[in-house]
Order: sequence, then C-alpha cells, then structure tokens
Amino acid sequence: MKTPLAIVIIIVVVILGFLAIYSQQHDMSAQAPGEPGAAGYGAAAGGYGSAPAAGGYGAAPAAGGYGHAPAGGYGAPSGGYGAGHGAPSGGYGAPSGGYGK
Amino acid sequence: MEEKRNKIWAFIITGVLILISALYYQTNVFYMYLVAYIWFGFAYGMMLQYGRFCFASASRDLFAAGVPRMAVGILVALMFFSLIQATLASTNMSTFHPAPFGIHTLIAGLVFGVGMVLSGGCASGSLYKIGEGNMTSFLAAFFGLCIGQAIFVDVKWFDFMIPQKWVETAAAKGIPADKMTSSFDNYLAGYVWDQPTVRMSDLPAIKEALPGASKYFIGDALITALIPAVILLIVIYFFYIRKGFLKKRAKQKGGAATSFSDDVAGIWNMITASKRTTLMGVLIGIVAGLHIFVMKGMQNRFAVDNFGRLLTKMGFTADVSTSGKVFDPGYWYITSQEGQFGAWILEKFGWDMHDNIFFGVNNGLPEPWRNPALWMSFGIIFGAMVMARLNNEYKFKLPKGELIVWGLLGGLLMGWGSRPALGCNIGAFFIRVAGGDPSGWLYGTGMVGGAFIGVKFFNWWSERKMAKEMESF
Repeated sequence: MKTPLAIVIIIVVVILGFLAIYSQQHDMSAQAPGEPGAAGYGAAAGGYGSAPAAGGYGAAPAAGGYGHAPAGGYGAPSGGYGAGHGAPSGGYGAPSGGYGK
Repeated sequence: MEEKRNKIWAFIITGVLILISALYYQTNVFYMYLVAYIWFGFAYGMMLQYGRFCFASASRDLFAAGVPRMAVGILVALMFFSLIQATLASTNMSTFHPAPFGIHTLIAGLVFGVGMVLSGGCASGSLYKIGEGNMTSFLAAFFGLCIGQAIFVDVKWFDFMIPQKWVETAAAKGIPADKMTSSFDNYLAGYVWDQPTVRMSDLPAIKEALPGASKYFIGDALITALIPAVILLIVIYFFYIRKGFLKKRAKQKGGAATSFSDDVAGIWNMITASKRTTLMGVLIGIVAGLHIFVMKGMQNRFAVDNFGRLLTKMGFTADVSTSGKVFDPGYWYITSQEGQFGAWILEKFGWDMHDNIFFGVNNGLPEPWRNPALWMSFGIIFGAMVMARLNNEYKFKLPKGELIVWGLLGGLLMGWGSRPALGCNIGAFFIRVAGGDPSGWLYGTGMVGGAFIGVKFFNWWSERKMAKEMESF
C-alpha cells in the first residue's frame, strides 16, 4: 500500500475510533452557551417533547404525533415515517390535543 | 508530477475537513453530532470509490455483460451489515426504524432503477463518481436528486394520480392547511402513513418463539437478510458462473466436475473473484454498523433523539420543522438530504419550500452547514475524491452530447423514485433489508426490475444508433 494512502486511512480510523469512544461517554457536559438547562424541546412539559429512543422518521415510544395514537409517529402504527414526539402536555401529538387521531 | 499533485490535493482535502471539524467543536460541542456524519461519509466515500461500489454498475454489469462481481459485493456487504445491525439491536444501540410497507415501495424502486441505469450511477454511486470528477454524475445528483426531488415534494402536478380517498384521509389528520399544499402531502398523509410497518423481530410470532436477542439474529438477520442473500448468490452462480466454472474445473481435474463440492467451490470462487469489491463489501458493512453505534451514542450523550433538538438549543429554530426535527436518519442515507439542499437553493430564488409536510413538518430545512445528513453526502464526495486522487484515478470529465440528457433524465427519475418509498438504494434497500424490514426487498425487486428495463433500453438505443451510423456510412 502506498504511504500517503496508509496515512489517510490511519487518520480516518483514528477519527472514527475517537468518535466511537466520544459518543459512548455520557457526561452531559455539553451545553450551548447561555442555555438554561433542560428546557425547550424535550422538556417535561410543553414544546414538542422528545422521544427518548426514536429518530429520523420515526418511532416515538409513546404518544401520538400525526396519525395513529397512542404509539407511533405521523401515521405509522409503531413508528415509521413521520416524526412522532409528544411531550406529556402540549405540542403536536400530545395525548390531549395536537394532531393525532 | 500529476501523482505529486494528486497527493497534495488528497492531504489538503483531508486537512481542511479536520480543520472544519475542529472549528465545529470549538463553536459548540453539540456539533460533534454533525462531525460524526462528516467522517462516516468520508469513510463511505473512500470505500465506495475503492470498491467501485455502485448499484447501477452492478445491474449493468450483470444484465448487459453477465459479470456479477459488483452484485456479489453488495450481497456480501448486506450480509455483514445485517449481523452487525442485529448485534446493535440486541444491545439497544440501534437507530434503525422500519418503513411503511406497501406496493408503493415496489413502484418507486422500479422508477429509481431505470433512473440509476440511465444516469450511470445510483444515489451513492453518483456521489462517489462526483468525487472522481465525473460531471455527468454531478448533473444527475444536482438537478435530479437535489432540485428535482425538492420540486417533486412541493408541487400539485401529480394531483391527478391522488385518489379522493387519500385527500379525505389526509384532511382528517388535521395537519395545518399551510403545510398541506402538494400532491406528495396527500400521498404521505393520506396513504403512506396508514401503511403498516414490518420488522421481523417485532412480529408477534417471532417475538414469542424467540425471546431475547435471538429474535434480532434469527428474525432480522437470518430470515430477512442472510437467507435471501445466499439464495440470490446461488441464483447468480447458476445463471452466470456455473457453466464456465465447472468447465474450467473439469479441465483442471482432468475429469468431470459435477459434485456438490464443485458447486460450493464455484460459489466461493465467485465471492472471492474480486477481492477488492468483496473486501469493501465487508468493510462497508462493518463501518455502516459502527456508524449506527456512534449516532445512537451521540443521541444518548446529548439526550436527544434528533439533531433538530440541538439546533433548537443553539437557537437555530428556523432550521427545524414544526416537529422540532431535521432530517437525521442515524445511519447511512443518501437522498433526503439532497432534496433538502435543492429546497434550500430554491428558497433562495423565492420558492417557499416550508409549505409542505416533507420539509415543513418532518425534515426541516437547515442551512447546509448545519445539516448533518448533507454533510454525510459531502463527506462521501470528499472521501471518494481523496481515494481517487491517491490512486491517480481522479479525472475531471465534463458530459457531452447525449450524456447530458441521460444524466439529467436519470437523475430526475432517481429523485422521483426515491421519494415515494422514502429512500433510495441505500435507505430503502440496503439499510432496511439489513435491519429486518422486508419492504427493503420489495424496493430491491423494483430497483432490479427497473435496472433491467434500463439496460434493455440502452441496448436497444445503442443498436439503433449503430444501425443509423452504418446506414449513413
């Protein structure tokens, strides 16, 4: 293998390795400047809420979104396309109100 | 001289990306989420270019020339990736989510398949070919996957194809009127969202029969990905390789070669015939799995389910959709982010792209430099460019003549074929099948069927063109 290619491959492997380790450290020191804490989206009440395990088009473990209640995103019975994220109160897909069926 | 210049360019590109990553980190640690997409994209780009991994090439080589090298490589990658997906799912480290299952997936795959053959590259293939300097692929990606896709989700041109029932069903969902303006909106809210999602490990029969982690390995990996992939390898072997291999083997043995072990040797020979492609297939499967692991870890680390939450925390509320999210698949994906890029460009020309479900409600329209998935696509291009430069394979090629037409037409068909199924050859086929979602095979069947039509069309076109040239000669 040519030396320059080997160097680039090593750089990429080191970076991916670093990202793998970094992503598994949950120290929660990350915070935006001036960010008050656990407010805004994903807060316990209000906003759109955050589904702890979901992502992309998809599955919210509980609470509505557009379409089928009680589980699932926009329309999908158990997640699927369409973001489902319901806060305990308020926002799209909340158990009371919102756009869910 | 050329070789030296290529090396310098390769290090400049890599260095600039490292610098960009450092700047993001310094600006806000939340951007580490985005940086992960950059570098996984970069790794995909390098591997795709080195292995010449392209679904369009795989189809063309198989149907036009009877060479299965690439198709075999894709199946090997799929098999490895399915095992890694199962491992991640069993440790609750998967970001995978199944897609609505329906005939729309097959039809979309068909359209996409024709498009990728016409343009000469699939969604991922087009990106790595841009990195190699191929501007026909740039035409396909920019005008088809970016602009064409964005227009597709925001126009009423396809209203004639939307049944009244879908319109009524969509209206009943109570989505704000200012976000329900296109044919695609009615299709999504009136049809797609009501389709069931299927994941093998979620099926009651599988869950009951296979408690614990085994449902992921047997339901998702073995039943959905491994067995069908092995069957396909055997089919490819029988149709394209067997006759020639056994003939050659009989000659070597000095007698008949018709036993079972001869066939097993033939299949193994087919798999290892191109070490470059097979090796990249294995590596792509592993890296795609690591990507999921890292993105899930990032979500856990920052206690979010989507990068849109981080953008909101950073104050970029205009970037996110009404659901507070942006397109953030959590794994390898290609087309949606290009649609976002196209929509972002069209908005600069005064076209309101927030007035539809796709961007307005689901995926948002972040600025390109804050778009994580788009950075993955840029990463693929740059990674492929670095690999091509280091192997002295980079060549800037402008399209000429009919290549422009094929690039544009193929790109548009790919863009339009990826939206109804909510994914492309990667998002709708590769990722889904490996994740235990049988709708991926539906898309794959359509895609291969479309590719077959595309190859036949090209054969017909070439013969007609040659016949005309011969006449004039």
